[in-house]
Amino acid sequence: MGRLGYRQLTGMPDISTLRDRSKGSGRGGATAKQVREPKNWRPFLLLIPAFVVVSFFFLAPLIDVFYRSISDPTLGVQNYVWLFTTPTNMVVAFRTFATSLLVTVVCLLIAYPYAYLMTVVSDRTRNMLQLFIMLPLWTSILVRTLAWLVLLQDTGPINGLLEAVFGIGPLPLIRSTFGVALGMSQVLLPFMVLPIYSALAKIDKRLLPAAANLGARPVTAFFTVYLPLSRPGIFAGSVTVFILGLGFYIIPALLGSSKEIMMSALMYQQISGFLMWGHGTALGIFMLATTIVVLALVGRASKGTNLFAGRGK
Amino acid sequence: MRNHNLKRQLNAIALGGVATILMAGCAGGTETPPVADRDLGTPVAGVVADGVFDGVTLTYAASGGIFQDGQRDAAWDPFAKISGATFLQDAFDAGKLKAMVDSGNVTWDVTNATQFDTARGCGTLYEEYDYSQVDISRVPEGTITDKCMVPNILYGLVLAYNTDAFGDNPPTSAADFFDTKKFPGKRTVSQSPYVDPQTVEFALAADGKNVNDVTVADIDVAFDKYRALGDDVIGWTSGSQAQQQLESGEAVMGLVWSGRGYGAAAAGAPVAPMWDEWMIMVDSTAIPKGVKDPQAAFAAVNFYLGAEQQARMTELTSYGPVNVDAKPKVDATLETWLTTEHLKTGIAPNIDFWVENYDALSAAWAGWVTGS
Amino acid sequence: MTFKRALGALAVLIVLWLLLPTLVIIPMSFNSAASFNFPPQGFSLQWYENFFTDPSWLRSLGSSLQVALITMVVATALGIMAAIGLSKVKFRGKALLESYFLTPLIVPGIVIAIGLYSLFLRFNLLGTLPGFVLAHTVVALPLVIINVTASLQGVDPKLEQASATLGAGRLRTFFSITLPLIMPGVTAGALFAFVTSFDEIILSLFVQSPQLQTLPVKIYNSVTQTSDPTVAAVAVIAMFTSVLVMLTAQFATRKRKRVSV
Repeated sequence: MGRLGYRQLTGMPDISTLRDRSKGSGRGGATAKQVREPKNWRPFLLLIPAFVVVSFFFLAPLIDVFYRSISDPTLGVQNYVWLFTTPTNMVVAFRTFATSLLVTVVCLLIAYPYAYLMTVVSDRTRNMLQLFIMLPLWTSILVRTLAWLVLLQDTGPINGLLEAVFGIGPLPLIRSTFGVALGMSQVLLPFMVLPIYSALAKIDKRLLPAAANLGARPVTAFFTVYLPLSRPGIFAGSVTVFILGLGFYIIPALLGSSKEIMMSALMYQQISGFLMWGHGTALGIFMLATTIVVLALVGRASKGTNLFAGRGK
Repeated sequence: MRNHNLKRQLNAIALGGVATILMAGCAGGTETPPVADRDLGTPVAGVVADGVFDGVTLTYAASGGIFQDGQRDAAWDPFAKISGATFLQDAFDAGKLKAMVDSGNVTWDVTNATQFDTARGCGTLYEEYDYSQVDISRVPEGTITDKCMVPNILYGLVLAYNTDAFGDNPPTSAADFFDTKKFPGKRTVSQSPYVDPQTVEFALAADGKNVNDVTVADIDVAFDKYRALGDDVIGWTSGSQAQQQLESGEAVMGLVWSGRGYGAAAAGAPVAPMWDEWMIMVDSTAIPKGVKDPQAAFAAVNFYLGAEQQARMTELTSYGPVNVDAKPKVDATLETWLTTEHLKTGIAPNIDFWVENYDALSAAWAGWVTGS
Repeated sequence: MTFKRALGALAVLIVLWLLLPTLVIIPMSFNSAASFNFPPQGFSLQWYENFFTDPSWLRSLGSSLQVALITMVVATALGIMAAIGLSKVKFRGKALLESYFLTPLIVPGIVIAIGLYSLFLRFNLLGTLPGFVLAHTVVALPLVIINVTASLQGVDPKLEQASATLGAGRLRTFFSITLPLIMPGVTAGALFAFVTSFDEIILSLFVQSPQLQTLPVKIYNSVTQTSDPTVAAVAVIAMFTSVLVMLTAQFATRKRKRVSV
């Protein structure tokens, strides 16, 4: 069940499935051709309802956003000029990337050992570990963030404990990059663990002993054999976490200070605070374009390793 | 035969999907009853005729919380009960309002806005009042600051402080807010998405500046003053957050809406207001441009302005009444937070200046709330 | 194996970290004081009482369940059709079309929300059941497609051929052969659609109106406008609803392992 494992168990959204499935379904398509009429257009009808819904309620709104960004208040590119010439925007854009990158690294460092553990334990323990990773997904992000707020604040229990036990004054656990990274990583961790687990589960466990037999030390064996083989999972997880991280709004607003505010909040502020729909929608298109560019770049960079396939060559 | 069957089925499924969407496009929304020019006679604040708005649905949009609940219980629901109208409550969002007005599909009838909002958006976002339909004779003097508003509440941006921390030696001036030596600890100040000119004015007042002499260059001066507080300044992005920070002791001092300070005190937190220097705030009751039934909206506002309604509103929300005849029964805690008792030491905003220089202010505000 | 033991200890820490906020909310919901401070000052059921006696909370829970159920049905139906369609067609732009169906997952919620707001305003869909369902379907659909596609890959096409050879119509083949085989994927996808809708916040904030508010909208308003601990009780109730749904999903996927391996 290796490759399909985590998706079957969890149904997690994962970009790594994009090409993957086109391969599988390509096979199905070929089979269909053999059996049925050479030009089978009926399955296309099945695609229509989903296509219509996505077009009307996803693409159309995005087109509306784009149109506003070049027409509010007047037709032209003035909103994009504003976007790129206003230092605040660039500061926040840079910060959004940096935060998302930090969260990606944190998730990776935590997820890798966790996912590895999942591959070496019994089925029962693995199911437990999987359940624990999924459980937080079903508590509303808003409520979890509120709980972090209560826990991390200067007068909260963690700082109280630190002061009572170690005598150190309130640490900036909240209104800091630390707080934001903590909250965001917690939400995004499953998106890192599952693809990595799926990659690790496919690695032949006999490879490491084999390397050891050939004289490699465990560390060397890990870095030369194991890590390269898990790279597709790392790539898929990192891209997912990074892209999802770019769009965060509530957590930076509640666990960060003004110095941790990210792009989504800036966009909302322009629209609702300043009534500048043109500015706000331009920021939205900028975020969208960034996401696409990141996907394209990573896709190109990883062509050799077939990133989206979620498996090695 | 088989193929035909499948084809029919598939077509039906596909058509069904499309039909659902098309139907969805036509369904929903509220039908507006035909607006007749009802003869309502000369308006008297706080009075509406029985059943005159049968079948009309009105929506009030405001910033929620105890504030909006209190207004609903004091005025909007009683209005609905007498007039036969249905009154709904929604969360205000200025961005949504602009989209409604732009699209010509305005689903709100009465909103709560700031004086600056209505002064700036009068005629474009907000409807001009027909003061012949609203009895404004008992409204406090000087509180109608543009043609698109009547006052909604009287309140203030006040320095609230923790009495456990500074009970013996409380702050007595705006300047004390910035004096971290004499008053150590974190202070909270607005970083909400909504631009607040009076937060800027407070910092300038602390420097001894008359708000009527403010210049554009002063905007940066004010924000630099807050920034100079460094780690001692934290922000609030919503009234409830300000209250939470005061209640938990996270902030020993805060520049907050008087009602939120009262909220913290009423919940038992050791919090008191400083009245020696504070910013007078008046909110607008405003009617969105293109409102579906202006006559009903005006009548609702006219009812809201009644002395009884205002007294009740104050008792429920702690915010000051906008009818000079209102005689709210207040307890000791509420009395300490009522701005109407301290108007002499309050500083009124320089509205014209902020309306004129809104772009400069909003650019600076964007920098302030994003930490850049 | 000390290495494995160290990993185990690390895993325990990670699990604690994951569960901490959830574990904190539960005692907070029984706080006797009217504040969010932790630890709570005493035991009380007043916040639960608030929830069950306030019609607006109950109404929003009802709306949430209604929206989530309909979203589940709509998204699952559309998702199954799309997944099967995709598995049977072959053309140049297919990969693009697949990506198109999945993009709603990666576009920042606020961007879609802003666009949907103006669109819904024009078509009078704000605060309506179809409006909520359609908005949620867009983000739930990819999850259904992913799940169903995954289990379709485990279906041997020969079975469908055999069914056709034996004279079964396509619909009959679908309902008696394909659907049972992909049922675990369908169930999982449907439950994910349900939970996605049940917990959706940003789109809902823009699609809501006083006529129809889902639970997350009410929670959001409560958190940002008041300091009312009722929200902690609501969170616990919502959490248990979600966990119930998730356990069902786990149960379904466990059965599915047997089918596909």
